[in-house]
Amino acid sequence: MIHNLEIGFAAAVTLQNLGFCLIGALLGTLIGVLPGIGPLATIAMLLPITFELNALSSLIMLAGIYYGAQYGGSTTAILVNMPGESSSVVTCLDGYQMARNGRAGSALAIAAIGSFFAGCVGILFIAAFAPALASVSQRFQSPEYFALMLFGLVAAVVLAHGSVTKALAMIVLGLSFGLVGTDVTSGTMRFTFGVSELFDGIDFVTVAMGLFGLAEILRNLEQKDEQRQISTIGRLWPSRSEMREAWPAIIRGTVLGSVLGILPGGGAILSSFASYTLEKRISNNPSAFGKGAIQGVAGPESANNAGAQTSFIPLLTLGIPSNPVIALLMGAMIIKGIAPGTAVMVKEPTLFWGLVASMWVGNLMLIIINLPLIGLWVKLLRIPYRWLFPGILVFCCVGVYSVANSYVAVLLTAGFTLLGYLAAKLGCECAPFLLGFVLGPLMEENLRRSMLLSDGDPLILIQRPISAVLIAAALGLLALTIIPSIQKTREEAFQE
Amino acid sequence: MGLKRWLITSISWLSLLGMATAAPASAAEFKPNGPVTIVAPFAAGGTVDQVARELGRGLEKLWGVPVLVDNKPGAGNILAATAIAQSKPDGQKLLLASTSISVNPSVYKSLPYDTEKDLAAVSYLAASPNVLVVRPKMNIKTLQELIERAKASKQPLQYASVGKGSAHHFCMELLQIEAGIKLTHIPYKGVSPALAALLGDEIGIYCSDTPGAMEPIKEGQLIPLAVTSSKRVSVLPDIPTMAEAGLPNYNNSGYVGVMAPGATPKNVREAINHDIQDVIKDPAFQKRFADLGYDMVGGSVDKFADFIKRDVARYGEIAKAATIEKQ
Repeated sequence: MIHNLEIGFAAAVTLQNLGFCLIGALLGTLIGVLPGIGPLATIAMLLPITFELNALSSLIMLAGIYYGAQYGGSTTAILVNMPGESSSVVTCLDGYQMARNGRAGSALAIAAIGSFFAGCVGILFIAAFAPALASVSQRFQSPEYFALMLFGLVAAVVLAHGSVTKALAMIVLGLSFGLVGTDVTSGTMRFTFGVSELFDGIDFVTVAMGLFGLAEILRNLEQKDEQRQISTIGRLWPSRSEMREAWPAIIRGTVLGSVLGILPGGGAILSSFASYTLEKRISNNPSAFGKGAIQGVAGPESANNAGAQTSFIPLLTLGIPSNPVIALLMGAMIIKGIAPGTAVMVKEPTLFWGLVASMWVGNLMLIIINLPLIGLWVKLLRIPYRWLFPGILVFCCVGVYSVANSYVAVLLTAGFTLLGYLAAKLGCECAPFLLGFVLGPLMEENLRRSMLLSDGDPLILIQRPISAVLIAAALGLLALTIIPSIQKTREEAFQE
Repeated sequence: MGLKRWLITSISWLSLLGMATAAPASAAEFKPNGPVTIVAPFAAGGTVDQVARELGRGLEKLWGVPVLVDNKPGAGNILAATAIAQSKPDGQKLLLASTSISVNPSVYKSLPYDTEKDLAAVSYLAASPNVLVVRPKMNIKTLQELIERAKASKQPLQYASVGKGSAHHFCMELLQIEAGIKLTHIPYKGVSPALAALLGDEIGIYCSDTPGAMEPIKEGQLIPLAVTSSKRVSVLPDIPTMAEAGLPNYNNSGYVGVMAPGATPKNVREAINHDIQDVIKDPAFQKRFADLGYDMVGGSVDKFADFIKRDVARYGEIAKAATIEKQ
């Protein structure tokens, strides 16, 4: 491994490749900070430029954009409650609350430190275990995915900090919005009302922008200017006690993210949610979550960055992209005449290890870029809100429009904004909604495929060890969540 | 020889020169009135998008105006085709059409555009043949062995596709019709999940696009049985066509081509077609297309119009024989 890393660093630390790594990381940070304009669109636009570059340089740059965006995405989530990607939704929950309490600097710093640590560990993971991990990801088939999604949905209940009933209601609502579009198994159109734009379902960005970012603007505008202003900016660096609280969460998040990141399709989405759930479960003070708990930022941010690194494993070892961004990177490799798959490591060791080494270099660059920027970002909060919100609004609309160059998406976002506002008024939370929206369709698809594969025999779900364990864990978690609340209602009933 | 005579000769020479350059122009020249847009039905970065961008770059050089690629992904080409159907028929807006244009009329009860009236052929670009592959675990080496296994098996064999009504699905339905066998269809959401399921041995049979299957084939992870086109494919020279492997009537390739709004005058389409043929002649262009897994074809406006007509009818027949319900 050490010899391999030597090859890698020799290839990555050339002036040209360092330059492209820096460009990628910078661009990634920038698009991560701009709400809506994601790495997918950016990489797609830059793809033709890479025709002129050599394979390693172009991959280094494109990969830099991808993980750079993960860093940048948390910035807007923390500052203005605007998740650009699925992974930063969770960061909104406590990160934004921290910012409102005048702890934006701490939140941003912890997010950056956590991401750096997780990124480094994720890279070591790739270097040490890539081939072994690839075979693990292959053991995950339809029944296992179903069980994993089931577990995720149960965890979504835990995610909510209010009433369990309301959380369940929001999950079900999210599930129903997830149904919109063409059903994969039967090809049937569901809730599309003849609108072609809905045939492929509703895009995640459309939903998240409305429910979180724009609904928050509505709520802010209700308040008077003085109330909204964050009184103290506070320190820019986390205090010693905050660091002490955050470290274990960073480590746990890193492990979770590294493991879940290797699952193609859906694994990475779960990692930040899973980490948040875990932190809340084991915390001595779960009621602090949702009100600015630093573990709620540290854990998920680390998980999502570790996952971003390990999601390269299926691509580099099996030739299977784990998400659309990685699929674009695969396209770039094919254009360069490099066939992604098991052979990459053997046939192109310089490319493989060069890319791995560049990720480490890139992560280092990112933390060097991001830490000094915190002061600047925090200053943004001093801008009077009446000037800030039109800007956010415009960026959001541009971002949502650019997902599929369709105005229907912008209208949908407006609808989800209203929904988010209503939900907030009713004391319902949007995170469980979003999790239901993302996981529901995946769960259904994999359940129905499992049934097709087993010719209708439901035992397929519990005969396979991984799937059985996950289903048992989901049931256990459900019991842990529901029993206390049942007991409470019974106690209340007895008291009456 | 005075100045006058010199002037006359030079003017006549000049006019001759002018005529020489103007002559082919009167036959076919497309003079774009500002930037031209090619609407691509897939997201930026995918294969079809790259085709659109390559073509755009070539036409840009010929026309001297920017050629933009507008990505309208989703709903099996419908969004892109609808946008074109509603555009002005002046050649300023073109569609990069792909296989779904032929498939859609057999899959959807109603389309927001009329394939025959609202879209007009400009040029065929390239064919994209598929390849039927199986996992080594199935221990099948030829198409005949697969057919025999399917006939002998009590439980129908299962195959993966990238969704009901997809070109890959039709490819397998045609196989079942031609071979007289019954298989179980297991749809996946896209190429990557289907490929992952194959490599993880969740499923054993798949009709793949050629470039997507090349690497696993080279590494022995997938066994190619036959290609779906009428001719062998250059990257898989040893693999027989379906016809050679025993199904004489089987021919089913995907394609990419260029279409325009339905009312675009034929002389405009012919002029654009002329320029497209110029672009795709370029060897560098041909090589890039081959890398993307396409067999370059090209051809006249009429050739593509005929092709589309026959292709739409063909998919209709398969859908009818396979009783695929319209949605």
